[in-house]
Amino acid sequence: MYELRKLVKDILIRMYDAEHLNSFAQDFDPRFDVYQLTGFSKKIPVPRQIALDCLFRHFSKEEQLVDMVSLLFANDEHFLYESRVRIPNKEKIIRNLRAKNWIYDEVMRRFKRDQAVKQSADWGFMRDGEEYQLCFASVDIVGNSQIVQSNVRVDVENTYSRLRSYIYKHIENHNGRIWYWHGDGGLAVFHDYSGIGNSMLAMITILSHLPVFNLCENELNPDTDIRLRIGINYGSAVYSSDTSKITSTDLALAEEVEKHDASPNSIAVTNVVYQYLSQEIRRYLTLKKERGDIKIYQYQVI
Amino acid sequence: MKLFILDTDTELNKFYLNLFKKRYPSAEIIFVFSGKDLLAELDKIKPQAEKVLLKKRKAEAAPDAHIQIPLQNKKTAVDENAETIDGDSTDTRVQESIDSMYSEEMENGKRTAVDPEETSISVADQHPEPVIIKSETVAEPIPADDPKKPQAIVITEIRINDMDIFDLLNGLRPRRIPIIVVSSESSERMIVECLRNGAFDYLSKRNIKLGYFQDILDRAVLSLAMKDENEMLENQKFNKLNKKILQSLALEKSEVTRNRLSRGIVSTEEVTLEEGNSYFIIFLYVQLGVPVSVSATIDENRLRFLCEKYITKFSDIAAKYGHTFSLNKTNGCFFGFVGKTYFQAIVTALEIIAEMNLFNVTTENLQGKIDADIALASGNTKYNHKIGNITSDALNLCAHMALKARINHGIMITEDVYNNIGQRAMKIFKKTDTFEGFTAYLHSPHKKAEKSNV
Repeated sequence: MYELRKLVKDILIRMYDAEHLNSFAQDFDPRFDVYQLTGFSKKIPVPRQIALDCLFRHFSKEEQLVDMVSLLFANDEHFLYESRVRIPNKEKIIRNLRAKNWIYDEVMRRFKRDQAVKQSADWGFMRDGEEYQLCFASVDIVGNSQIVQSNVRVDVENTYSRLRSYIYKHIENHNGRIWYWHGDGGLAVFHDYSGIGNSMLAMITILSHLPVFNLCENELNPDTDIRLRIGINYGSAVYSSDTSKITSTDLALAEEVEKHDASPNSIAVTNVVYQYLSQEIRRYLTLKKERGDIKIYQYQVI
Repeated sequence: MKLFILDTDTELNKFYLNLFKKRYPSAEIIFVFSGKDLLAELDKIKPQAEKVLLKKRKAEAAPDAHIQIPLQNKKTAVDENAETIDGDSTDTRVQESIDSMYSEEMENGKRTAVDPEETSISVADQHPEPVIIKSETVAEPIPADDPKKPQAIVITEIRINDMDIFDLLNGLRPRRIPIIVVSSESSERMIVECLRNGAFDYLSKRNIKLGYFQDILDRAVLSLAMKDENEMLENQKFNKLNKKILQSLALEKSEVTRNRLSRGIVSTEEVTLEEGNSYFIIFLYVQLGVPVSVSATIDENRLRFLCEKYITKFSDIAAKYGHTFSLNKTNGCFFGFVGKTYFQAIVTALEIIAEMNLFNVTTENLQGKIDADIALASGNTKYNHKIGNITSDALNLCAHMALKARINHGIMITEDVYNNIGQRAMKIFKKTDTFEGFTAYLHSPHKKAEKSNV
């Protein structure tokens, strides 16, 4: 990171004075105060080099440096002191970060961890404590206790483990992530508006191919098929790197819809999800029930 | 009759218990947890003639059925101080008893619950005393032709805590007790050596679910009444059971194919077909059902392009499961699976249905649903390199079924196919009206979904 730090320092020292550096840093951390951290009085201007060193000492982690670069890139072509700001050495910075598995997302205008190298629950950009718009899909095996009671343990373990891999595969193919899995069910999450369509497609794929899974990979008694119940809702949640502990009312609603409104081998979605779905998918959804303001639609696999 | 079970798998022991209570209600079931315990218990077995008398006397003394479940008692005290449970349903009580028995053991620290969510239980090295579950009052005839032969059967795992399986088998050999080895181990050498060392039968745990364990048990029980192998071979009932068990070979084979497919392994055998030769072929015919709502609202070229796209995808699926040849048509296609590869053919059909579901929800501006009507039939067919010129009754039949039977987004199969696809696939098909004089079976997820929505 030494070279990158040097490049960023060069840019910042050319672009900003201490006052601007202070407000730039406060964009990530509002508690940052260059005067307090350097010990200068507010009446005395802080030398740029000292302000810069203070900034890099305060934001010393790799993620913080990358966020700083993202913010700099976002300010590219913006106006400062009535002149257009152009970030020099952009390509060099991108290359430097690329070598460390960070890629620049043009749409989000920020750097994120390359998910092609390793998929992470935060899609490479989420930060602890920040709130994001997400699509939650709760998945559950129908009749788990009955299955456990009427089958040999090894068979149940093998089948559930294969089912987990099967579900993971389809969810990750649709850019979703499993935030937690309890053995007989779990929570899949998709980010952004496109995540709604993706979540629906992932779940339709899972349910459509379930007969093939049951035929080829199910180790249970031949008369026991795996059936799934799925509930989907769109809303927000505050991200935490311990994804099993994330809770939110929208997430809880997805779980509730799955538990109470989804029939076996079907997907129940809330009206929030329904309104963002494409016409092609909506055609296969039927209104199942209304619970107060919330309408529940159902997709039954055919 | 006594059934000794030497296994630490709790779930499997519950399965044995349920099975024995249904099939041999008068049997005394004894769970032992070490080889030494087993040998000690077997030493207690009295000659058959005395045993029968004893049973009769006990039956007269206690007319109501009861089950004795000694939990913490010493072996010697088991018979006298056993706890008695009364009630109507023996099965329920037995289930409750064994459940409570295991939970009590866990509380005592002898067993550890690993994951209560999954109710999986692992058993610690230290095992409790043998657990005896009796139901002595049902007057079921016990074969007693040979009084010297103890009326007992042993079911054991290979992995025993305190001794080698072969030592145990050799220790049991002089007692002339049928031993059924049921183990998760399934190496060929292990099976052969167990049989050579006196095991009566061998079953891999992964095959228990195939359902023929009870036949194996019946065969062992029947052998108790017979003096030697010659007598067994002459016995009609015994031979009938033998034949029934032999049928399980096909079941096991289909399980192996299933497992291979689940790991993505399709038969590596290259099939080279020669023109003019006759082969057994399973035909899978797919007909795309384009409704008027779609054909009337879509450009003809786009529709042709879409159908080609779908059919190409279907060909990829069939190739994945090892089809030998195929022919694409405008609105459909057919695939040939050479040999008795019923399972591969049926999985292909199911995957095509799944893919069609996805096409329907992902194709833009489609004003209706395109169906995939699939039919399978099998038979001997003279091969022709020009696939379009192949004439075969099986191909004709499945083409007719796909085109005329109004399958409505589902799969129709002939009786021959149905009988060979295995239990798992069989249950999703329902017998339907005869088609052109043939018995047909239909899998129609569409109808199922409609029913479920109602």
